[in-house]
Amino acid sequence: MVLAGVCTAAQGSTRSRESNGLPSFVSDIEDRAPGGSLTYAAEQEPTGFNGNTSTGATTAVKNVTENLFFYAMKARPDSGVDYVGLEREPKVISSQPQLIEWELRREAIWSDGTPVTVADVQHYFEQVMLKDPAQVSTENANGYVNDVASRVGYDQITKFTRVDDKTFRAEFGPAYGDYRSLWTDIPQARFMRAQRGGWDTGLDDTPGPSAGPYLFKEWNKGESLVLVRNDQWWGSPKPTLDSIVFRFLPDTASQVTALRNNEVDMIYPQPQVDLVQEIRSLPGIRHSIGFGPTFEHLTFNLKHELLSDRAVRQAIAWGVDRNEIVDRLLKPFSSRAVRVDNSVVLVGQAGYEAHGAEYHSADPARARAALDSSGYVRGVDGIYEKGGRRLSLRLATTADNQLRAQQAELMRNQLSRVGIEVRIETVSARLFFGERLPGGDFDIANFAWAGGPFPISAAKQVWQTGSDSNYGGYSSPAFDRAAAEGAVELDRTDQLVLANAMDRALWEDLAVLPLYQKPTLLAVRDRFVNVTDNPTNEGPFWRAQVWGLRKKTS
Amino acid sequence: MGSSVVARRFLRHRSGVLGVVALTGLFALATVAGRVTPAGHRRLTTDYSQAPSLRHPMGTDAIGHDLFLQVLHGAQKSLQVAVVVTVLATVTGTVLGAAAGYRGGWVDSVISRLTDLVLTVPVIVVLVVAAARLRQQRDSWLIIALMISVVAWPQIARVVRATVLSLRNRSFVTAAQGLGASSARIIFVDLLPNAVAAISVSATLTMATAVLLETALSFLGLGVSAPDPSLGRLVATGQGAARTRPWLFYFPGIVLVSICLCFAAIGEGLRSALGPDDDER
Amino acid sequence: MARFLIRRLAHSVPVVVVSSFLVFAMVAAAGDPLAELRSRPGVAPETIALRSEQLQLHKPVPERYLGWVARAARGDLGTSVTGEPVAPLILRHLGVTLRMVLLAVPLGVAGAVLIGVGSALRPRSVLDRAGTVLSMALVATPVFWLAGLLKEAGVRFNEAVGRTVVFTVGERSPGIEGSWLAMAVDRAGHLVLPTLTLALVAMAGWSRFQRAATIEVLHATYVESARARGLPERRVVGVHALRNALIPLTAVVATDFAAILGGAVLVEVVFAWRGMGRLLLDAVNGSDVHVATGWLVVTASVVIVLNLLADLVYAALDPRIRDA
Repeated sequence: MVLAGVCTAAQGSTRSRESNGLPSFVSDIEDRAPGGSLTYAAEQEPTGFNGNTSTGATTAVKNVTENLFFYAMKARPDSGVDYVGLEREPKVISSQPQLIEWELRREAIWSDGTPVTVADVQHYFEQVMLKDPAQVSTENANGYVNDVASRVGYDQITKFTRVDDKTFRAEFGPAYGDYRSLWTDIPQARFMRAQRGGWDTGLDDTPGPSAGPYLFKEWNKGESLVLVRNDQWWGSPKPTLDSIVFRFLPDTASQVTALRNNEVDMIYPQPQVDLVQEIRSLPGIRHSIGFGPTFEHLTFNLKHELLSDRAVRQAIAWGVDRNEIVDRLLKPFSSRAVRVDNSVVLVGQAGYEAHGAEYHSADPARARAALDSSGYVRGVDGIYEKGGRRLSLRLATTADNQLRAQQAELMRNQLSRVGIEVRIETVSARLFFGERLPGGDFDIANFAWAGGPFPISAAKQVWQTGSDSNYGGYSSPAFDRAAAEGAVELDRTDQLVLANAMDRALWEDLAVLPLYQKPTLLAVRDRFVNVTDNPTNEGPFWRAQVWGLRKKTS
Repeated sequence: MGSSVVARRFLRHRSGVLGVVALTGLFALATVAGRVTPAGHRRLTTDYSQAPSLRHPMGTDAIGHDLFLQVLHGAQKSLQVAVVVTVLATVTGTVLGAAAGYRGGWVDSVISRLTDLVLTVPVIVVLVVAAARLRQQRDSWLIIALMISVVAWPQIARVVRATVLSLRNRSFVTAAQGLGASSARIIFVDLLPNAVAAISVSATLTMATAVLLETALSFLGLGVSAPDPSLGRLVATGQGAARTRPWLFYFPGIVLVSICLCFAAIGEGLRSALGPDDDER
Repeated sequence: MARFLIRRLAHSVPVVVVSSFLVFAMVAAAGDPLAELRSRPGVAPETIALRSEQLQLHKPVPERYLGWVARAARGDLGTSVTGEPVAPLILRHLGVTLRMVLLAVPLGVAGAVLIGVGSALRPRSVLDRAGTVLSMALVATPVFWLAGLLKEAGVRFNEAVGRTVVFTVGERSPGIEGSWLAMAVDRAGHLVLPTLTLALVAMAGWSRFQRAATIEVLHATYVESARARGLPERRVVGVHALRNALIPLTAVVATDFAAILGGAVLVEVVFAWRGMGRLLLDAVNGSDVHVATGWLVVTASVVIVLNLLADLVYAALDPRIRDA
């Protein structure tokens, strides 16, 4: 039995919150029998519970705190947004200057009985932005004190005003278009203040009281972490599972055997043909394949002598047969796999437009024509050359990733047919992301970028002129203009228009070639119901409150 | 012992002979395949994930590689690594072990400490630590081979040292010393030929160990880099396919085990061919 | 004897020091522990600077190493990249590995003795040939492949029996409660496969050695003279030969400890035991200098102690080596 992983229903308005506060995404759940304990094979062990520190900003931590801390909003599987912790959507009081008002859910309380108030949010904000003039240095121009992974958005708040216990306003300067993404993963202020380690280490061993459907029970380091049902939870529907156990199993093959052997109930590995087939053959296991807003792509190093020539990039775009890659590597385990033609707004998201129409299919003839017109001549071995320089490029990708290794070989083959020689380099992830990319030491790089409900911020980070993550050295006035406008645009629909404008600039210059959206694989024992994946940042634990034992129909 | 005597004794040992024949055959097959279909192991056919058939005797993988050609090429690569390792380790180990055993004193002290240094640290540590950094260069197989040699020579050194030590006080050595022969001459002409048995056996063991170590590294993700798989890497990547596409799991594994068994058999053959007759202690 | 021990110990200290420096330098040079952090768009540069400062990444390696030595001399092995103190971390993981090794080694020895002595007593018999083939095949098989096969066998066994008797991951079932007996049974179920794998691998090499050693002893002059004196074969073997045949194996086992540890590393990865193997892999992949160096010092010390024991046995056997 295969469940669909992506809601194919309409986007936007029909999925907005109903007046009683229930996000409508929970309307498709099955009946549950009470009790039960679900064991999840976690690939990585968390290092603490504070998700906004440098060591805590990982999926390992996110999976655990997803159901513990306070969230003003959560992303839906279709990259829409649900304001699960608010009374309603954040209100725009004024746009010049940008002044937004948030109202927390009246019923929201912590598991120790105290209400979730503005004090919790304000403490979080103050800790993130805490400064000390004595700490100012060349790398730390603002004198920030705490180890914070991301201050994006918070660093644009100029004034934070408490209106009452549940309502607050924030003024932004300069304007921040993705304000809706703020105030997530927030622990209780009172608990944090009492912890000796403060922001940096205060949440290393225990998360404190919970505002989510589950409570932290215990953590056997190296072995397992246990959450139990939070009967104080104020949301709906109420959780029925007794507990969720995280077992730390880093090796994928072990995970599958453990699933087969009844040692775990749920796994979330990187999909691969053999893996999917093996899981399909297991009795009593359900699996679903989802396609999230993370996409594989090729980033070109625009400072490279050969790649700075647009004709060469065109030849690559016509030479790489993206359809063949999807057919060979992804179709075997999911017929829904598709090529993606937009690097900013992705397939399945509201506002998706396919761009780069001329490159939708591989066209070796046009590839060769482009090279010919740029002055390249075919050498004896079939590889083009110009001025004595062979068209030989390095394709770098991360090691230990079978899918990437296979697609690299496919691409090498495809490009050799149009006369471009490709040398494959597999680099360990640490070196790849830590040195090769930031250092510009690559020709063509193949890796993945994550999209999400806030595409403008994400894309701006990557391709804006001079941005840290702009590894290829891309610079386009058209892109920068659209990005700047989009960053201060408060209306969601207008944002999407600008997002697509950004992507058109990318296609015009062929700075990046998007390949396909990365699939996710979730396998769970059939005894449990309502366990579905959310391939956005939220992950498979996005609504653990609806999980439960299957009701036996007698 | 004359070489013809040795050869005859070796030929009597059936499994040793079988080992030599099998390995030579494998190497020859791989070389022929390399000439007939150059880069054939890299070629992507349109038959993907096919079970063994006439066209593809060992089946194909997900993107159309012919597994038979890949196994041949991979075996050649693994053997390449093994040969380099064995040569380097044997030469280094023999020279250092003999020097330590014969000279004694501070020479022995230093060399023994060096041996200890490498033997103390579990092989896997050195390899993991070094491999993590170095392996993404081209010709990574050479680098892997060099690294494995570094951890392989002490075993041979120990054996040689022990042999030399036990022979050092024999009458023929004292006689040579009395005649004024240099240490080097004594070591190479008089002592080492008697250690040949121990050295050859150790060498064949080293070959098998080198292949297995490279396989272990591949399993941990640190072996010879992806586009040009060694046999070890094929075994490692085939791990997950045991139930779904068993040919990807079993063929590389069986070939690998067979290669190591050949080495072991050759070692046994050498041991019985070169070893002392029972009355010579 | 005491002088011998002290001399050997004194020689071992520089070995540990040098190897600790090598590991420190290699891991420190191998990569950037903050690489993953840098790869995420939107991460504050101040944070990266702060962590870099904490980890002293800007200082040259020799300086960092000396700082580490100074602290280590006081017993402080530093903290990992994630801020966890290294010493308790290593001890915890060492305990896990030792639990597996301390069970696997006696099992391996028992198997090696049985097969080795049995083969030596009846050379070229069916037992001998079967034992030889089995040992050679085991020596030639990659550990993780063997582990994979055993896991497969374990799961099929469970399916045949109908309940999960043999486990494939971890040391125990999380959250298990109940009587002491129930917990012991659970642990045992988790121990079976990894211990068996490691024992089989160890046994393979040792049985070959034991066979050779036993044959040698059986032909030794003192055994021949016992036979010549007319003692029954059983007494010759059981009393005189066997005891002496077993001694060399003890020394080999001790010397092989480093290799056993290497095998345990791979077995741990396959069976997801959070032992020294996982710790090292994570430390190296994360360029975690303090954990890797601490790991080395602890392991090296254990191996050296065992090697010392082995040398004692060798020395007791052969005075020529002791005086060399």
